[in-house]
Amino acid sequence: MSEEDRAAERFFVITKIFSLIEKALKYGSIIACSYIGYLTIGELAGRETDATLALFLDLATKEKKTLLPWVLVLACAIWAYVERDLRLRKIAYFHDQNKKLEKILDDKRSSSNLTKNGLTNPKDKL
Amino acid sequence: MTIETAFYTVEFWFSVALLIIFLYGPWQKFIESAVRQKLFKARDDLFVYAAEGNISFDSEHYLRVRGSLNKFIRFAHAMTWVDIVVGRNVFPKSESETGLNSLLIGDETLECSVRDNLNNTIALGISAMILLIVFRSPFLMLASVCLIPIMKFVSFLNGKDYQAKSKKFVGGFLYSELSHI
Repeated sequence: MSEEDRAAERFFVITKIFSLIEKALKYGSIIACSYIGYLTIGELAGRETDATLALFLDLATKEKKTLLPWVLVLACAIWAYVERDLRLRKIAYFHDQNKKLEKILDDKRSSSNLTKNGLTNPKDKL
Repeated sequence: MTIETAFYTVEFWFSVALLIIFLYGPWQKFIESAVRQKLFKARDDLFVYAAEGNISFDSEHYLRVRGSLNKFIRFAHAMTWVDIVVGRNVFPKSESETGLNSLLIGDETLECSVRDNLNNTIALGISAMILLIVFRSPFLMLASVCLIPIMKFVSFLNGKDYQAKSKKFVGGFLYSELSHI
């Protein structure tokens, strides 16, 4: 095994360890948040018998101040998704035309190897 | 604990979980696309510059700068500060290795205006990558938010030069690492 191969192996292992730590932090935080939420509901058990999900939903719908931000968040998320979809379709539409025109002037034109709609090539995903 | 308190506690932690999902999901894609757009613009400007006859499409300098921009665009999804720091320390450095930066800045064979244009294109590409690395990491983003007021305060006490120097110091490290790609 050459020195460069050994270096590549070390690079792969170290970056994978960091990636694992990052994933552990990400999913660990989500699990911790869910667990704290679960404990909060558990705190009511036996003391307030009406602490049910139905009552939670009732509270959420009755208090418009609580519900409004969530409705806005959902609306913004849907709008962002539709906008993004439109942008990706537009990129794909212009891709071939741009490539064809550039090739007229530079026949050895190099490419970034992204997909037609400008997303990461599946082959490049580590 | 009343049911109202429990409701708001659950809502708070649900929001925190959603924020984490957002920062590691759609936010990453957004930053990636925004930076790629900046790099595509730099590549297109370079193409137009060559098409106007300022530099040949076959020139080594043109090919190298375009190649670097293509690499930045291609691997933007995977580029983090960890990859750069680990990569620079793990891979052996050959004595003949010349960074993209030194190739252009020190090259006297190029016309002054062409050299400036190519250097600006590289600087633009590298600053876009620095933005990508900082904004895709919640920790670096948080550190920047905390550091900016401190830098402002220290610069207020020490004169305006300090802010420029500290910016140059922080950006300079990533700049020198990225210019070898």
